[in-house]
Amino acid sequence: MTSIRVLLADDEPLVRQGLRMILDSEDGIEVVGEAADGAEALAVARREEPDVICMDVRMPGVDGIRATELALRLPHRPRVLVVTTFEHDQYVQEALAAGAAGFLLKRARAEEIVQAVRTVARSDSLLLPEHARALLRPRPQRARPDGPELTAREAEVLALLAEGLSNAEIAGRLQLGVETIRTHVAAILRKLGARDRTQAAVIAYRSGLVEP
Amino acid sequence: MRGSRPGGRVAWLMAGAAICTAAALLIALFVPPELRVRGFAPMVLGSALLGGLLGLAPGVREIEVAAARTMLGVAEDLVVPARPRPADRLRSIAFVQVHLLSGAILAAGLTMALPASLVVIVDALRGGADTLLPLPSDPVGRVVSGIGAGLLAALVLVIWWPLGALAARLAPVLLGPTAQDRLALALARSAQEAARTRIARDLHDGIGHALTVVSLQAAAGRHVITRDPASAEEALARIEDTARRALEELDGMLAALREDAPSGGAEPSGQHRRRLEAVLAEHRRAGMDLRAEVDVPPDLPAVQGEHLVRILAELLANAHRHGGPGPVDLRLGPVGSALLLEVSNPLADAADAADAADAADAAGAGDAGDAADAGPAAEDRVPRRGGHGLPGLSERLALFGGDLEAGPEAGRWWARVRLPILQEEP
Repeated sequence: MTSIRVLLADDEPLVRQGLRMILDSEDGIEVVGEAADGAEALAVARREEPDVICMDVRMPGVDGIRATELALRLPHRPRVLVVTTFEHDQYVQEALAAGAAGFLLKRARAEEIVQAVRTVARSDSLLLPEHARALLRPRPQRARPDGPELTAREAEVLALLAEGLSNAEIAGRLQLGVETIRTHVAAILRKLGARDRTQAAVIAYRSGLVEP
Repeated sequence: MRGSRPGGRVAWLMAGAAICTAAALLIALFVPPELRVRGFAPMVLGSALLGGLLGLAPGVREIEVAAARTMLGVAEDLVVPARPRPADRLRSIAFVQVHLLSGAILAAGLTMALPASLVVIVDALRGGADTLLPLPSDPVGRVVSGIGAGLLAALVLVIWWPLGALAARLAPVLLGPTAQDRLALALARSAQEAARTRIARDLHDGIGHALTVVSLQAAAGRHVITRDPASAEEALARIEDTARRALEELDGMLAALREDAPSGGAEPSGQHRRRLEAVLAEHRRAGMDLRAEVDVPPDLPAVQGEHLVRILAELLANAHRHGGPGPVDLRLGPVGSALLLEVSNPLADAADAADAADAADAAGAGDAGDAADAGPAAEDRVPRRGGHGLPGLSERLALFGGDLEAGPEAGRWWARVRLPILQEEP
């Protein structure tokens, strides 16, 4: 099994250094580059093709949100793990809306940091901890989205997807085949008009389809 | 509130009457008869107008402001200017004139018009023909004069109300803040706001940032401690460093906040001098050949003292990072109403030095060796932080109306900071 290739983008060298120490000491994770701002992160990402970018939201110049948007358009489609100091950060919402696959506080424990990178690296799972979901509480003016209703099964799958479960985990939980789940997820994305799982989860929380 | 304290307003008017009487007596004593006006009303008016000059005496404005608040029940802003302008003095005089004149009107009514009216009423009621008063003796005339006297007496008994109300209405106009005062107040408030914002930002940037680094480095150290104890030890050193610097920063910020609180004041300027000395000592320990002349005015506001410590630390760190070997000169002292801080250090490399017109003096070569030895060790120990530097410094200075000039000059790098000393108004 090949290592998860990680890029660290943060304007504080001591934060990058700390993350590198934690991740480099893990088997199966390799830090392939560091960047001090969003523009540098994109340049390094293009060159190194990391699987996961640990992206600080507040950086000088090109900030983490814009960098997330642009990184997700790179041909190898890296996964973005937003790393932030403060959980009540408006930027986090924006970063999730931009398509970040997960959310991590800088004050997390080392094991959580490692786990976050591993979770996000799997292309079909999200990392939305409690505080990130709290940012996505339903907005009263936007009730259920228009468009075709989800079936009961699809709603069930959406709830689990929004919790961050992978297709395999959802399949296990619902006693269904992974292929079936994949079909349900595709239908959910189509019905919600979501670009990816993050967007589907954001819509699910925002519209109250799923309780945060 | 307004008008709900008739006793207070009457007392305020009577005080005005008493002062007006005193003024009238003084005029009678000292002004020669040929200069005096004739007649009761002009005499009262003249006394009130001249008595208004009392408004120039120190303390009178304070008394009038206090009296207007407590006795007249004025709720609006009234001010005692620390440095009164001519317009303030004129308005003080005008208010004292209003005070004396309104008081004199009430007193004249109560002491003269009221008894006279009563005599007329009694006379009218008695109905005898042997009156000494110049009144009509026919019944109709008698009734009319009785009613007239009654009306006058009633007017005297209620006149305190419009007089008091007028004074209460005029107080904010004459004793309140002028447009200029309001501007000064608004500026002071916005400066306060800026200081608060700065403190919030410093807390966020400084302490929040430091704690993030501490928690992450601690997590990293614990994570690798069995596999890689050396790295863990380095992480501990970084934690120690970061925490210590954050505490120093917090110490300074709390000192500034305590000074802002009204009851504070544990020799803040001494505290700043100590912190300045500590910064100098830190750099000397790190191998800097520092020649410093420091003179901090004792009345420097705490928030500025705190600011000064940071500026000094930033300039010295800058000299350390970018300067060449050799002595660093520092001068800090008041110039007029501002503080001037100058730091100069040798340029980093020979090329720069040669560019700067006159070649560096030969003596510099002698101690270059010593400084070079101290260099690397110093580099390790001097605190460094991202995101600051000279542009950040200029921005912070602008908050207090200061400025920064920096550049090569005569073979050395110069940084000059001018920081206006804020005057704290009571």
